[in-house]
Amino acid sequence: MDLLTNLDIGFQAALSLHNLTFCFIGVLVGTAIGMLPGLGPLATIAMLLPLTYALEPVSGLIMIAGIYYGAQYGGSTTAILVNLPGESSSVVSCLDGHQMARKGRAGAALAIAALGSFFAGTVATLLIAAFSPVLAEVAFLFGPVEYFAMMVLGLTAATLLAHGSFIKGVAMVLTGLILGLVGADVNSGTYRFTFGSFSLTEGIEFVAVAMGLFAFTDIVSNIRSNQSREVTSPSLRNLMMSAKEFRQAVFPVIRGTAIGSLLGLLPGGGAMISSFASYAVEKRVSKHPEEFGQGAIAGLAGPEAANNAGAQTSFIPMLTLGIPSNGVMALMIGALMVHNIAPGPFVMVSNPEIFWGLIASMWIGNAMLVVLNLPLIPLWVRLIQVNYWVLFPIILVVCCVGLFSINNNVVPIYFAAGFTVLGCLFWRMRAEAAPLLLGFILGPLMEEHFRRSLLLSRGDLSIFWHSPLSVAMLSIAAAMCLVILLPQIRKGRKVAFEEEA
Amino acid sequence: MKGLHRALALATTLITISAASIAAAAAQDYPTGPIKLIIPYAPGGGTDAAAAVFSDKLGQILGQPIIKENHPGSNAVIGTALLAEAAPDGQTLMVVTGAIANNPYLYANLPFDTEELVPVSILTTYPYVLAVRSDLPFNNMQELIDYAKANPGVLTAGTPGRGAGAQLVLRLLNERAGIDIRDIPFKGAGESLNAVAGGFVDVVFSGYETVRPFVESGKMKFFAQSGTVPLGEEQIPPIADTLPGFEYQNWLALIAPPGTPENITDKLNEGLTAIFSEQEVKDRLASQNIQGIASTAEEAKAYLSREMSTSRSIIGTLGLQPE
Repeated sequence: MDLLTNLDIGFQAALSLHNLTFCFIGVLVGTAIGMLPGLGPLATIAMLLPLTYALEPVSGLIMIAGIYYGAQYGGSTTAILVNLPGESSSVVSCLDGHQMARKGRAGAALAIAALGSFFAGTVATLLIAAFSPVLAEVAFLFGPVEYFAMMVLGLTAATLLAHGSFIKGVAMVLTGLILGLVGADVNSGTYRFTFGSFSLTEGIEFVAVAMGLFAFTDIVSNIRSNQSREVTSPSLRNLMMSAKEFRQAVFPVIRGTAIGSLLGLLPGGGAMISSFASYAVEKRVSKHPEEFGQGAIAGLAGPEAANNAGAQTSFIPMLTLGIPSNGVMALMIGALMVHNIAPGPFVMVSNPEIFWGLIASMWIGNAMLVVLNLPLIPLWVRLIQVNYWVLFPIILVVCCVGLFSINNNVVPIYFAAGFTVLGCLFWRMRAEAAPLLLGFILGPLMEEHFRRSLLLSRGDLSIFWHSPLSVAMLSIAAAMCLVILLPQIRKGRKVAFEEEA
Repeated sequence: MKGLHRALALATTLITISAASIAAAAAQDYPTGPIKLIIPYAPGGGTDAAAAVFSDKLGQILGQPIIKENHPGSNAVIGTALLAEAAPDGQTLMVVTGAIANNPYLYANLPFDTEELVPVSILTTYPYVLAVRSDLPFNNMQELIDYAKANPGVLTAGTPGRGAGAQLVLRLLNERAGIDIRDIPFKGAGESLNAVAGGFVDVVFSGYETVRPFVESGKMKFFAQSGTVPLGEEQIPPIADTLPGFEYQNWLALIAPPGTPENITDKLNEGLTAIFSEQEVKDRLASQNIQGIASTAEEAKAYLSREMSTSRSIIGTLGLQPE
């Protein structure tokens, strides 16, 4: 069979001691930078790229790929332990993962994240090996119209992210949308809400918003209400996943893998959107949606699997067509070009050891990550046992270094400080920050694609119901609105009546 | 871990910068520390790839590492602003595209004066390739123009956003050919190429190397480019064959902060000339259909001011106003 011969070529390349070493270095560096907020895989790979010029092309690519998916693992560790989303795709892991940690299930949460990611990585790698050429075409099904419909669906689902008041959820999404408007408008290049400051022309830095609203706000609220600290001391039993937890995680992981594998194919932020989508799906299908946000296992397992699967399948357009779907893939193409290998559909034929070697290394790298992360869980869990007066200054310093490293200037640190104040205000008002972040990320994308669609159709709105994909997604969004709104209105009334009584 | 590494590198740079400004006539010893190379675009773009061709070799010749830093945003304005603030000691340099010549006429209130920047060398020039969806019913420039005239306003073009060379060359084509291919701005060249491959827009102007994979996979075809002579192995004919006098070249330049002394730019130029005359470098650029130039500083200055006046007249005829 072709696939087996090809995988054989791949594993022969990937299992050489040389390449195993670089795979290990890649996943190790990836895990580390995933934990460090601010320093993302894109910046790290850009910095390390010149090092790979001296290596064999396949070793260089294996290392870069390792950094990329290793960062997805590392990002969830800090999200779970200290409510600090290192990457935009781990925002969702904060919601239920951190709640689990607070209830003394940090070990289980980390194990679920690691094993779920490993499962997703394995399935996605098999998909790449077997169906790459077919799947690559999916990336081209999505144009401005379809992207707009997807963003509408995403934002509708965002209101599901919030537990508690529906009105507050909507208000937070809208606040996020407004904050996302800051910066240069894509169509005309006009600056909006920059107040003449050049540091705002590219918009407000995502990492600063996420740190301020999540990690720093968490620190402040913990200091304020010290007595509410619920972290139980980790015994050996607490580190392990119980059989019940395992069962609860199985189906969300499978669903998350499917969602992530599909959305990861889309250019631009597929992995990130897939974790949001998976969370929304899990909350919908769950028999106990009220547990979400309180440490629901499905709310952690699904998105973790989804973002890892998405990170893997985003390689497909790059590998099969030589077309980068995000910045990291563009860097990998750059690395190939330095070695005089022209990226494109012919790499598979002309350099099979590179193509299949990289695919085989992904599976090996994922296995390495589990081996690397599982034994470290007791260590990580002990980290949150450290006294606040030691832990918090360390988190603050690491975060500030991370913020500074984004652009080598201090502006993001001030922004993080400002968003901490805002975050504390939200915390006092019992308003959830996650929908704000989603509005902040998706809002500008939605506007961009909406206006681009209308430019294409010359202002004719009917363009949105000429595409079947768009119609399907918009209808789901509308149905979702009804499903959410009806009981919410009823419940809202009931609460109001109870208060009167 | 890497953050620390980078912070240390930065600290070293800062220390050497201040040391250099104290010892004013230190040009003989230049460079005194690692050189920071600003790339005003996102990592992984064409400028990164082009900079990789010479930066490591130049570092070896000068005996100090060259550290690349990507500062993307606003059509290279953000990176250029950083360069303009840097000390004029050659320790901070920037690689930039022809966009720098367009920006003064597109952006009001730039935080720097483009004329004051010190161009070290024009590194490369290359034309834009016009790529179209492979299922469109035309196969040469004349057919495209006829189609566009018969169906006014139907064709759309993906461009990388306001002020990019690929947007100006499209506007220039529209004006010279008397057609109306509508401009649909995207975020960067990558997105605009994907949109053509997916069939959502019809044509795109981009560098040869970015278009080639799409053509090989059968999603696009190219039959024209904005240079003056046939391009590469495929001998892609110039648009000028159909529209006499049509030319639009993109270029890459190495730029230093305002007030950088001549002996520093001379030293850089010496190294660049040596690198660009190496056969390996020539071959690598040729495979991407890029022409290596490595001009002197005076030539670069003359080239930049010529390009600025060309940009001004193009932008003027297109009726774009600085915002």
